[in-house]
Amino acid sequence: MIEEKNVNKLENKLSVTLRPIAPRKEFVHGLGNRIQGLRRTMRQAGAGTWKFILLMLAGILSLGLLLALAGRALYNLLDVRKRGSERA
Amino acid sequence: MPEPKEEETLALASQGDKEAFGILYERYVERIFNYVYYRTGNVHDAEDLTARVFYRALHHIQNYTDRGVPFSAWLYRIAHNLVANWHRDRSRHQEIPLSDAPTLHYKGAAPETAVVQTQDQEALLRIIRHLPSERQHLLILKFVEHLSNAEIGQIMGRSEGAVKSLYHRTLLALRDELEGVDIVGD
Repeated sequence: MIEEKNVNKLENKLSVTLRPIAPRKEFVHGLGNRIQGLRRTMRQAGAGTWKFILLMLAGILSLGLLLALAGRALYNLLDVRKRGSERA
Repeated sequence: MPEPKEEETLALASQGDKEAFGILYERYVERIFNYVYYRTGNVHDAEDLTARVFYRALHHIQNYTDRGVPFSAWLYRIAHNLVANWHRDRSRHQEIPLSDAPTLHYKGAAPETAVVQTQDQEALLRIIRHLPSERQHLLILKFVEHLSNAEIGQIMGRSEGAVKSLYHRTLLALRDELEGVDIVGD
């Protein structure tokens, strides 16, 4: 157990030693500005990411459509040739 | 103008609101700085780690979910992890002490009253820094922040009774350590 008197003494020492400290104003303002700047950059980067994703999706869809058209054209071409050879 | 409510500010900040995160920063920067300063004992590292706490918070604020614990608990957890990494890195590499450390002042004190610790206070701080991190955290919240046991419990994720008991054990540990260096007896 710890005596009441010793507790008070120890608590007094702790309250004198552990006092709130004010960080440097330049540090607080500087960091605040850097954070605001970073936030802006992150937003721009986020917008950039969305643009990239949309472009990728559009590219994939266009490629798929192109491949489907090419496949259909090839199929029709082969079908016509097959029918031609059958007639001959 | 009245300060916006914490929940509203948090909701806005997590949606990417620049102003809201700025408000949270202004509200907590001193508290986080004090926590890191007393855990590291070094102004340069305290500033560096405080900056990293807020960068990390900024990057992860979208994932923050309100589970009924104060926002400060989330920030303190980030700070705790960074301080733990700092101690680990420091034990691996020999640090060269910096002599051009900026002068700090006690909060509310006159600008010319710089933070000066007596030998006894320095010895006590050294002992505190050797305590387990949760005990250091408790002492900082109690004496630097002047929070009640209930508030400390909310931040540390413990019950009020558990905080009280941890505080008592911390005082016992401190008394034992201080007896060794003959500070408590004077």
